[in-house]
Amino acid sequence: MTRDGQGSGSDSPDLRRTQELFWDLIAAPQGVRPGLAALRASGRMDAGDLSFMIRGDDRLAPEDRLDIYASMYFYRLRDSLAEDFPKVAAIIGGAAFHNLVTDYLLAHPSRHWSLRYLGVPFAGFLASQDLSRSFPYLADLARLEWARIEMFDAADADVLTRDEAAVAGPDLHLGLIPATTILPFEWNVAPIWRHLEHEAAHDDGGGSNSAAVTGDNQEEFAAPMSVDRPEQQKTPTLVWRQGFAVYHRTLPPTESPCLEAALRDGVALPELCEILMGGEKEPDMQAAMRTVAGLLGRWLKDGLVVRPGFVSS
Amino acid sequence: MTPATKPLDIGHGVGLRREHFARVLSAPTRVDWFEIISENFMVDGGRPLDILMRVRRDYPVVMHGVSLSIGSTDPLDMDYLDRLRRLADRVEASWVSDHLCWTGVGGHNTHDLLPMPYSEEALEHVVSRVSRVQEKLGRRIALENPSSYLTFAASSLSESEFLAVVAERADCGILLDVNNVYVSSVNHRFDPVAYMDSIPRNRVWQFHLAGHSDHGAYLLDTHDHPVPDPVWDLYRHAVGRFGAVPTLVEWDANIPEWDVLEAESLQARKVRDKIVAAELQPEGAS
Repeated sequence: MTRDGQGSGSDSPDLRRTQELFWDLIAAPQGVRPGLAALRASGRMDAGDLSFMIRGDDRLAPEDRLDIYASMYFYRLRDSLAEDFPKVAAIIGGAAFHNLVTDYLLAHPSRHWSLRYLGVPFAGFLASQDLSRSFPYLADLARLEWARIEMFDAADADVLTRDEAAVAGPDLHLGLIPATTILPFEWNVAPIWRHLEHEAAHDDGGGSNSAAVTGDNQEEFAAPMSVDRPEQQKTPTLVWRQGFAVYHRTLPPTESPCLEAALRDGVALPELCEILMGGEKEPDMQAAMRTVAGLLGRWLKDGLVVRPGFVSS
Repeated sequence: MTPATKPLDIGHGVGLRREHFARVLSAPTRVDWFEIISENFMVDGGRPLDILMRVRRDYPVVMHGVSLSIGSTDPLDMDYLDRLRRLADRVEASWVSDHLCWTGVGGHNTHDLLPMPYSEEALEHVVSRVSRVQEKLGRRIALENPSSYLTFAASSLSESEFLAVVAERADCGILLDVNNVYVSSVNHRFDPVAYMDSIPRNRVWQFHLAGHSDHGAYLLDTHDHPVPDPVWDLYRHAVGRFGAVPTLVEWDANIPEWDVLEAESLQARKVRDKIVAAELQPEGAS
């Protein structure tokens, strides 16, 4: 133990150093004792064991006591990610998911006060892993699972009704509710999502869990679930919340640029016609107006259009 | 800020969990109030907030947080405190509580309730932070004694001494978790009754009751069982010492049907009422 960070008049480290060591050791991927050896090897501490900081007794050594916290740390976060990404976990299986999370927490330890945000960089991390060579579509599936979480508790908004849209007529300026996002997928993952959702709904044992504890306290990992590889194709996908239910659907080529424009800054109806003609999606203004009318009807039905002037509380 | 006062006795509550949302909203219950995990509702919108506001129409709501990290040596998270205050104002929380612990350091968050060394240095640190948190929130808070699995060589005070001094010096309340006292008393071989007897009577705002798991060399605070007999016994002692304090049954894993949870809360009411009634008996009455 260096003199830095020691409490006055004691061999114990001060509060800051205690907490830093505690964190280093419970976040060590192999457990407290290997973590301690790594700290010693790197010259960050020279004590042989943890008795200078933690009291042991006839039941448990200091390292064993700290290991209780190390286990709770890892399993709580792993289980939280398994709850956020049940379909990714189902495809790769419990053991691979466990290892993936181990690496993920080393690269992206939680820095937010809420566990809700632990999965923010998960899809990007997944895309960078060897696992993505075998499952190249997995990062897109993770993005879909995450976007659905984001939409679940996004800000509320008043939705424009058909009657209100009719009153506004061609002067209507379209803005979308906050609980709307568009994901530019490279893989068509919606059918896999639907298949796994159906499987989970018909599995009374909660089949998408990544692991379960057996009677003898050994962890039994769920086996990987076999799914057909999806098509590799650009598949812009809309994810949104209507009421309290979250939905997603693949966007056709005519709808995608229009909805993206509405999502960016809001859009007036004539601008939508120009987008359609400029992108050569429609040959003339009349055809474009017909398409815009159809799109607007769908967006109103889906509850995507925010009432003008609405300010979130 | 006005001095801390013991809140009114609002009776018996349970934690509001999503498994019971539909049941709680569909018909009256026999519990008096609900406690929420604050962070689960510190979101921008959607179903959880809507449910909470509908529950609030019919019941008092107590906010119980897990991310204050009052003992951390990292700076207080002002964004967190702003959001906590907004939620407390919105639901008109009966009171706000969190744990005597730290949850992370160096910007990391473990999302676990980590133990404090009970040293003079830690005492100064926690007292100062509780005072700043109370200023920021515009209200007094209550701190809960955590379950713990280790003690620090640096500790010069017992946990109950530490908690009592923090409460007196920072002028805050104590959420006395009876199960945590029991779990820690087994894990660290101290007398749970003596622990309770060293907590000042007027500081205890709320009790928690819960179940735990036996891991052989230690007990683990798992909140996945009914309240076990030794915890009921300790609760009887707590009511005898601290009086009719609002009591919450916690059940956070293997969450049972509503009726089972409600029955556990009714059992707490029965235990408490019997002891309070006996205390009120005039001397010599039979």
